[in-house]
Amino acid sequence: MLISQIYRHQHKLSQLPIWIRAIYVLPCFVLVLCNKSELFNALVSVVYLALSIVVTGVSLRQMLLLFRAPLFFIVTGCLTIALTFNDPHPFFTYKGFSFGWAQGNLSVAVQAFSRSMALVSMVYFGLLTHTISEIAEALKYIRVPKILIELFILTFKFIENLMRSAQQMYTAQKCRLAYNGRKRLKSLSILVFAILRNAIAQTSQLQVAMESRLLDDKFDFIHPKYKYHPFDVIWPTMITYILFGSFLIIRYYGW
Amino acid sequence: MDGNIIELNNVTYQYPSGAMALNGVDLKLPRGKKIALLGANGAGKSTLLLLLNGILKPSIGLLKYQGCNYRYKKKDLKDLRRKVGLLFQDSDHQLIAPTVYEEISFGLCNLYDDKALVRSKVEESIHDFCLERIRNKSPHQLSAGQKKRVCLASIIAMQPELLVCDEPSSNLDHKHTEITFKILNKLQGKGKTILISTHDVNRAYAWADVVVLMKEGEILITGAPNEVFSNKSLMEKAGIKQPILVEASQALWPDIDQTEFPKDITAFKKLLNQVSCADLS
Repeated sequence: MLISQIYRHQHKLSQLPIWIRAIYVLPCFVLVLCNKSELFNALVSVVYLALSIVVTGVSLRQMLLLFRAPLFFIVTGCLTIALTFNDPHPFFTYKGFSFGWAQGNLSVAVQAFSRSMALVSMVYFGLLTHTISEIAEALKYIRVPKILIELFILTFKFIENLMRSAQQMYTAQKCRLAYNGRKRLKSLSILVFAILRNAIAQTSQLQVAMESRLLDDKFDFIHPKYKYHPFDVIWPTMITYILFGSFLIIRYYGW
Repeated sequence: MDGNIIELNNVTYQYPSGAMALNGVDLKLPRGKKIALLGANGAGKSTLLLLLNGILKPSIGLLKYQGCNYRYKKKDLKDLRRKVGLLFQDSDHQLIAPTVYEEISFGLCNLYDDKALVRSKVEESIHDFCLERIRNKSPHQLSAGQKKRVCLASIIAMQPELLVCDEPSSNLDHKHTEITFKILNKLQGKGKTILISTHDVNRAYAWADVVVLMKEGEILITGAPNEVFSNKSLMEKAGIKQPILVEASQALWPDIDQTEFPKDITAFKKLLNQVSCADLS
């Protein structure tokens, strides 16, 4: 599951300026980075998952599918921190190798897991409520070098082309009885090679198309003028206050 | 509106792989006309279109825009590409922005610094191309016809003097092809020069003022549709079929003059009636 597959442009925040949308994410992002409470991180994960569903209208199933890839890497990373070999108190032994929990690292792993999940949840909310050009504009605002912004946009487009090519070629291969029995690995290697070649060709075509429309070294897009009401700031501010309050309660009362 | 907008003098283009795409092409594109570029696959049509926009530089030869030689410095290319708009065959190769609105703004942002001006031009373009309902949609979620319209809108918004379209009706159904050509006709009515490359001989015959026939990187003939399409042997040499109306007319009346070829089915019926009546009397 890719973000571009479920992205909906008509989400509930689409008519708000970027700075208001940023209030939904940025203050809490800083809080998550600063705190050490797993409970607060779990709360943030749930809140932003729920917010993503409510604001964008994406189903819970789609959101959970979206979490699969980061979850795999986070769990692998955390297990690497938490597990230890030749532990004196192993929970699993195999041919002389013993695996156990590294007592000192276990809490670090749990904290890393909860924080990563909270951050992923917030990043997904941000990505589902901002277009790539809006993110590029934000990067430009914080003075990220132009070349990196260009790379960012082209990479996004490259991934999109890559996935489209992959889907079409995979279907074309299956139509010709690929992926049967022993041919599976060969079919896959042919697919990978063809996809890369095709995606690179398509991306160079895209570059040509952009040059024909006077691409300089800047990637500028114009957004429609947003009409907003001062009351629009109330919701993100309220969410930030609630989360900040929760943060203080958890920190000072140890919940 | 007389004169040529672009002239190619002995233009040759060789790809880095060594393949010769164009070989000594001499071509004059008259201003304000509808021009159709025809040729079999590999004839060099797409390469020629890329040369016109300054994306490719000829290996040998000269291109002139309104009498001035093409120059390939950054500033000159910017000026040239503003005047020569290029519509790609595959819309997906052209669409970069996350929304239709931003897609149309892309070229304009590269052209102007005044955001208010860009916004007004985008709005105008959205209105002209009836894109109001999809203005906030992602171009990748659109149908092929809508994508083509967005691509056209994004180029027309830059107000080029010459619009070059690489197979504008590819992947389009009849209805969307009609819409696309209606837009092209409207633009030509406003004084723009339109150049399309196409495999649709019937469309080229009915639509174009000037037809250019290519084969293996060379120009076989340039002229009015009647003149080009009446030359059966040349058409066969280029690997292209004659338009159905020309073929039928030549089959029914072998001595018919090229100026008498019917342009559409109504004219064909009329001609058929006239000849039948003459035969009876």
